[in-house]
Amino acid sequence: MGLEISDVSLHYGRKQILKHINLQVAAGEILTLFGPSGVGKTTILKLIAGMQPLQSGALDFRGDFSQERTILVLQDFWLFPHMTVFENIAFGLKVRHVNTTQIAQQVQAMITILKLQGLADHFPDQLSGGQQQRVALARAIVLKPKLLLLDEPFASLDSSLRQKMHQLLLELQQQYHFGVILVTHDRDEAFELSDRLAVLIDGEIQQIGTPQTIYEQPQTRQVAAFIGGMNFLAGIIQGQQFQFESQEITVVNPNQLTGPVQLVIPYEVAASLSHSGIQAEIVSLQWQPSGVLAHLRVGQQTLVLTNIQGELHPGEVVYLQFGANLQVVAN
Amino acid sequence: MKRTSTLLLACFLVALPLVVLLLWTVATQWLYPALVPQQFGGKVLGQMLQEPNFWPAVLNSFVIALATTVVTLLIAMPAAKVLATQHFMSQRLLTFMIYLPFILPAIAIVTSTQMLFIQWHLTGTFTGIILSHTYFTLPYAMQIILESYRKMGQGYALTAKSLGAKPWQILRTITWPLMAPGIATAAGLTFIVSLSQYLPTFFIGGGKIMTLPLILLPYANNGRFGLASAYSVVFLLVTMIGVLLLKQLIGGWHHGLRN
Repeated sequence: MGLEISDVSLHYGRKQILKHINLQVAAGEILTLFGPSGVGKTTILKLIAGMQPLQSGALDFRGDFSQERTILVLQDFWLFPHMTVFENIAFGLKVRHVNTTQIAQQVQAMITILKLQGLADHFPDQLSGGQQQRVALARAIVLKPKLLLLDEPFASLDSSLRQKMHQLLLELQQQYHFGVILVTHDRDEAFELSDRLAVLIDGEIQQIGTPQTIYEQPQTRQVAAFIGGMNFLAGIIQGQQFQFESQEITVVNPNQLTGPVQLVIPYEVAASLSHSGIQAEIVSLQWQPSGVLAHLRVGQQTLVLTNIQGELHPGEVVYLQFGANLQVVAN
Repeated sequence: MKRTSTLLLACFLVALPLVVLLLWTVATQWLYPALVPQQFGGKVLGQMLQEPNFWPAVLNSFVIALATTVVTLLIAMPAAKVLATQHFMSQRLLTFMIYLPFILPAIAIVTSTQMLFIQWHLTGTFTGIILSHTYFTLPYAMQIILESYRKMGQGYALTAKSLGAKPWQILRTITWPLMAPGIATAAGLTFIVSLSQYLPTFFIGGGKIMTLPLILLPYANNGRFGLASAYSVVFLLVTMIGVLLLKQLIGGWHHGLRN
């Protein structure tokens, strides 16, 4: 059960939008397409939904997945302005010629679940942003989709509302067990909601993995730079041994790189004080809600870390051990 | 206060020519320098109604304008839909092409069309006149409907499609109601433009099919202001009835629409 996308490419004239995209989504999984704007994330959703013809490659819907049971929710909701909330939610059932009593029942159930009571006769322009978002979700979920395609669904909401909507989406997903492909360029949203994350840059999938893997072991410098909040430590790699600033540590080297490389150390990776590891001098400390932000000096290079366990003092020289396997990427 | 007086002035400026028209229609004698006619009567109206071509002209004008509106919309709506979403042509070239019928001199178009239509046996037929009118009404309708499409965006139709609607369901429940104000405006304008056409009706109709402008213009040219005014009033009434009818037909469907 699920959807397999294999070797999908797309051109607009001479411009290549998508390059050999391979993806799988399983039932009940949330897969996030994460990347800067204009890299073809929305285009992938449109291809899957059948809104745009496939130029090359294949979509393979398996088990009870199908294009008919795949619903695309576009950015900005696009609630039909001439229909009430009730009519909007009922739209998909109506075009399927479901009988009126059943429509009324199912729409009423959606209204209750999405807390839209009392708004059934309102028109979209009388709703708040959060309410509009919930109607858009209700309109899709009432059709019992197997796969929900969400294009930047929470981009227009303020951050506290966004948090609530994330929670609601996870609840709905638990209850109705649909797969989700979510498009976003918001890092926190991607990390919070995804089972797996596909980083899309320049029409190409750079890396697919769990949010933790992507954060701690980005495959390429591009991925690391796009995720942001990363230190890059220049040095030389030989096998697993990374030499930098007359120090040497053991790192992960999945791409079998040799010679000059960059060690990636995320700002928020867990670090602890020890008797061995990377030797660094604490330059300054700054309090933040998420932890103390430490600026450190490693030889000629600098590091920023926010998640160091232990007592820190400016000017002190410490040895740092990291809670994750650090990885090198090509320059 | 200032607003009201501006409004009154506007009303007055619009109403003044209309009042003169109405006065001419009911005057039997109106000589210089009188401000209003010296004698009133139904002579002009009677003369107009007795004209054997009067009722056929009213009916022909109405039918031709209505048919032109239908044909124009049938062409403009799908064309605008494609053009609003296309990427292969620049918007400037597109606008230029839409306005081409305005740029080319009408008389050149009409005479060359007439030669073609003679070969195709379309002269002296309603079909011929309706087609030639459509040529002149399309730019208006295209521009308005194209703008409506652009303003509406593709999101509603895409969403409806994703929710499982078939193309005709999308047209009936989404595109048509949302575009109704724009379509009604385009239809009204098309009706008015078609109703006012003189040249194509004259050339393509070959005098066999009479319409209101064909009767009205000679009277106006010959200084018979009474009859010309009476016909103008009828012309105005037909226009208003047509536009209101179209507005009712098209606009009546979007009962739920706000804004």
